[in-house]
Amino acid sequence: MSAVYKHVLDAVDIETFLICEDEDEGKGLIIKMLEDMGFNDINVVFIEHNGPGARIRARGYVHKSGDKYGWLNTRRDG
Amino acid sequence: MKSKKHKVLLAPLDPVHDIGLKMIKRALDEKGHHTILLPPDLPPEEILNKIHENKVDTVLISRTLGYGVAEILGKFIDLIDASGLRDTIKIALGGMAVTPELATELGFDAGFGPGTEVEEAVAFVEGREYKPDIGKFVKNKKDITQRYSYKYTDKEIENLLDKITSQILEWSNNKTSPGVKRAELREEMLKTSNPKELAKLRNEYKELCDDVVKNFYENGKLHSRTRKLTKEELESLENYVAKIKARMKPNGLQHIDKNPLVFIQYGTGCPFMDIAHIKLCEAWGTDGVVHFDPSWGARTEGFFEGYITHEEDGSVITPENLLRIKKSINENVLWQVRAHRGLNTPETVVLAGNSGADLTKINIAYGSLGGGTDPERLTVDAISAIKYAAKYNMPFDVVTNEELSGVPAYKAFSGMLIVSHLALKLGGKPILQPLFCYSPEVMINGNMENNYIDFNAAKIFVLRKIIDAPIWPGAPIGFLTHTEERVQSSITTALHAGLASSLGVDAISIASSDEAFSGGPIAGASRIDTLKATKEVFRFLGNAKITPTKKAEEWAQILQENIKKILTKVAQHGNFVSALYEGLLGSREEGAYPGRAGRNTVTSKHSY
Amino acid sequence: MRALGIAGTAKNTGKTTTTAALIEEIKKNSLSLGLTSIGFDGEEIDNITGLPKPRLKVKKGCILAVAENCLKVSSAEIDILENSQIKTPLGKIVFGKVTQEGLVVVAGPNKSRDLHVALDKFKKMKCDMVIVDGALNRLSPMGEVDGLIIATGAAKTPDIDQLVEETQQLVKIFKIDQSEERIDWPNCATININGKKTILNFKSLIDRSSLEEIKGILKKGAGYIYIPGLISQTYFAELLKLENIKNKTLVCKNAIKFLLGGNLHEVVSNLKQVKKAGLNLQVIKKIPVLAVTINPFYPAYRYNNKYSAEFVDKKVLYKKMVQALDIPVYNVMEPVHKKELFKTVFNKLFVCN
Repeated sequence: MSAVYKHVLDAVDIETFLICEDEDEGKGLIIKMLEDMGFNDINVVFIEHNGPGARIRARGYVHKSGDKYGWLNTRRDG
Repeated sequence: MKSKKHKVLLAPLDPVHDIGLKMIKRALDEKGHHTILLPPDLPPEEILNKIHENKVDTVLISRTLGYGVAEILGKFIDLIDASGLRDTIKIALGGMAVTPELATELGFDAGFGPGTEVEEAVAFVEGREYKPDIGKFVKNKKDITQRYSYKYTDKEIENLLDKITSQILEWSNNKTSPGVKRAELREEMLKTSNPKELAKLRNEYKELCDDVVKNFYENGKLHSRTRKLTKEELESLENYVAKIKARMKPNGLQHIDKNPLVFIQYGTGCPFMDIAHIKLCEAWGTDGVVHFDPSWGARTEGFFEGYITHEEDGSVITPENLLRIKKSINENVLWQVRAHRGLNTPETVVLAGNSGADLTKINIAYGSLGGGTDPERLTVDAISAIKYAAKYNMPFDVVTNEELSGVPAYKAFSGMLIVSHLALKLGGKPILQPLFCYSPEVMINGNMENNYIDFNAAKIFVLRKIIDAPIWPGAPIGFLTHTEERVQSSITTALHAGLASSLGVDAISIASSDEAFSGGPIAGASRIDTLKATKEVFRFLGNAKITPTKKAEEWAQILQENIKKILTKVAQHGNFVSALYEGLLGSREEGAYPGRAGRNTVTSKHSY
Repeated sequence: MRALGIAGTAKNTGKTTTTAALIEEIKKNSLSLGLTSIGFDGEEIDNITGLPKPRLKVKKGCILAVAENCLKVSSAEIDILENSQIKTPLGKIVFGKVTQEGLVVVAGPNKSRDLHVALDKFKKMKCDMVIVDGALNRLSPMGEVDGLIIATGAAKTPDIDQLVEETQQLVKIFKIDQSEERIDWPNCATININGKKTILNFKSLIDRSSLEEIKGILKKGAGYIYIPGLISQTYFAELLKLENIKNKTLVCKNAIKFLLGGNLHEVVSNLKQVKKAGLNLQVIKKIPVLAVTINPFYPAYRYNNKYSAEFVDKKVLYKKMVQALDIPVYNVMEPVHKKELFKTVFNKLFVCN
């Protein structure tokens, strides 16, 4: 992952609307999207499917409690 | 001494945007300055003439920046400089994209960008240094118990509570527990600086602990899923906090004085992450923060020592962890360390008091019916804890979270009133904490079928009918109304905050917009969602009120009658602890199970 | 001590590049340098266009007059010599000596009076030469300097012919004759044939009542008018139309006070009328334009407040500018020109005077 992620307090949320058939497809797509972005600790925080697709919020954790936090030692050059 | 009145020319150079100047004009007029607001978009030469004609001493210009605009403003300043007027007037520029650097480049005395407070411009006119926390917003630590007399309006209830608490005190008179004893030792350990003495006390202390803690003191082993923080981590934390403090501007959520204080609860497991959450909540205006310890901590006899981090919800209480957190909290932000439910209740209060906490949290009924601690044990421990709270001058709230397991509000309130009265007898300052929640009781009875307002309002109404005491709905408000969708989650928190404010309560605890999300830790950003939403509702309502329907009064009446019935039963029963076991304050059918942690650990004082 | 002002005709016309070029040459020639600015210069990114701008590199020994906050962001090491009471939005002005070379952000006194005070201080600190970096198109405080470089370029207008014409006119305005008198009265004044002086209660000719007062005094026979402040070109045009203006003398403090009273076109057209009307127009202090520097760069507006860097043909611009002006023209992006620029400035400031 890029060094900029060390500035993330804890997690990156991706909020979007995905055109998909049902909730399962939506979940699969968003998880793939976050995996492609390099996240490995991924959660679907919220999903609601209706008609055209799904309103989704998914989260990739960068720092969880007890981790070594990158932001403790950030400089501007980040 | 009367302050000097200034003559101020306000000139919008924009074709339309002069709202900012109009706001400043109003503030200046209110303070008795003479203001002249020019129509928008006059040519620079004409503005120069107005300055000259009216002999003003201050000029405020507003202009949105764009390419070529800087040159117009530069030319304008040149005109004033060349005419000789520059030496006699102060001149400031305000508008989008304006910065002090730009103001310098253009030759102004000051530049006000977006987000400038009207007060900042007034300070400029009056030649005062602008202090962001003076004038409009001062964050003061408030003692929310201060203006209350704790006098009962309902004398019948007062008499019942007197009777019950006398029974409790008499019952407990000769009893002690490992928790009480550890608190005493801890107090001594905190006082001594003699290493020999400390070793001796620690040796005594560990004998009163569960094996897992004892093992730590003997072999240095920690609880699984916890680890010590490294020296490097601690150093970088100190730097981090210092850096943040230097660039933090205090913020406020309240729009009017009557808005309640807003608390957030933290307990990420790691003191560093806790501090990170505390700092961002402070930045976005929280008035207070509540320390959450992990649930295993409440079921384990004894505390660890040192800087320890943990991977689950709740942050480990150790003397060092608490001090570290206290050091990081803004001095004007209230800090509560909750002690209400576990086997370390008295020691938690001792540590909280010694770490400089402002508030704590104690409730026997909830702790033993919903918190997993044996009623007998917690009653003995809570009395000791309340005494410490009084000693360290920490008001504490009495939660009623047993409602969430299904205990009806009137029973939870009865328990809360008993503990509060006990506190008053022991010299403590209790704060009533009814829940604003969509509880199993209301789901079953349909009290919230129409709205979330009436039943919550009824809770406040009934408490006011009984006693003049501070009220702090929690915890968090809107419990069980949140979903994982953050807009809904933030709105429900904010609306409950609006209701709380409308009902005139003293404080509220709010959740993050991640409240209903259980897949991982609460994200820091989700805290800002609800802080902002709460602020917006305070702004929206001002002094206007949310009006409950007639139901609220009716339900308050019923609650009051039911509370009387329960208190009568407990008083007649004659023993509070056994009343807890027998379900008078919440039965097994209602979802209240007397806790088992610490069962049979209460002993007679003489056995020690 | 000689103070040199670098005045731009617009933002991004190359003031800072010109200043940077001179700093280098001054160091090579062992002159002690003072440096300040009437605005704010040396930021990494332009405040308005978001495009990168040069930051000033200063050498050891250079004395700076900058706002306190500039010190925080400068990489050069600076010893504070003296604090002053001159205020700016970025803090009070301090005087400091560079002890280790590095980059600086220079925001200095931005009013005429404050610059005057600062230049006095530089003199006491024994600077040989002080560079006063300009800000935007601002000119007024430049009335305090001993010589000017006008930095112009495509950022003013990418139309080369128009740019050349405007520059030519600008240079001409600075050529208004210098008065023999060395007066420094705070307000307007008139002197009649008998040598009787009348002090008026205004500084500038910027409103009708002042104009009427001057007209009245002229009618009564005054032959000499002094205006220390701004001269509005609208009212000046009316003065020129008076029958009795012939053979009178009108003295202003400097050409800038005259130039700022209207747009360039008005000023030029009024100047043409001066001779016809028979008015003797003079300045108390002549500020010579020593050279013109040109910059082919201009920021072109794209969309959403974003700009791209564009350039006009630098050879054409240079050639046309040289043809039109009777003073040296340099493109300071060219190394050879840098040296030449310094030589010209040095000769005109120190040798010719």
